[in-house]
Amino acid sequence: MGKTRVSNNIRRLRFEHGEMTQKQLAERVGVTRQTIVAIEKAHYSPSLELAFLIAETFGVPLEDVFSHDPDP
Amino acid sequence: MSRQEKSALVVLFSSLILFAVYLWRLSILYSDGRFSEPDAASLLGKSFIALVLAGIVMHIAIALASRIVAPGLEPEMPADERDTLIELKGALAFLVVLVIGFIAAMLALALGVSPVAILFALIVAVFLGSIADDLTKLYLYRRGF
Repeated sequence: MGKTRVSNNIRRLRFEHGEMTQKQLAERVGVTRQTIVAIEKAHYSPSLELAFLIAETFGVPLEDVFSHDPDP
Repeated sequence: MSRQEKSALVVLFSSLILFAVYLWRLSILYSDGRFSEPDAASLLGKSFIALVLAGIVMHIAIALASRIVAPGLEPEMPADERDTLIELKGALAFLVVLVIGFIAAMLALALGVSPVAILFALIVAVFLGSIADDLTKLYLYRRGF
């Protein structure tokens, strides 16, 4: 399975925010649950707008959610 | 299996069934000698229009049936950016197959193959393109992206 070079801490952040479910996060940012699953597994890199929305949902800066791995 | 995967699978199988029926109908017309007549190209054109209309009716029927049989399968949210990207990749696969089919058909035409056979080859290219579209979407949804 192809992984992107963008890793993320969404799973940890969801846990730290009252064990938010993937569905709840998806509803808050306006995407399907499958898209959140794909982002969490690093199979899909979200658009910049969606990335900011996710960071805003958790109330943290973008770099606390996503990071770039030159060698995944 | 997600709703999108199920949808792509249903569309794929319904397309295969529909095209099999279409080929069966064409084979009957062919055995009756209808494609040797002067209006063979017109007949093929009409059959393609009928195929497209049958496809639209079939997709509407499947959508209605799925709402009645399994109302829970209705989309909880409209398509998002990932769905749009997968749709575009599917459309690209369709276009690539169609262009290859078109070039092959033009080559065959240059080599003297009959125009009716070329028209049929183009219809097959459209069908194969739609299969490539469905398979691409199914693969991308299955893989995650």
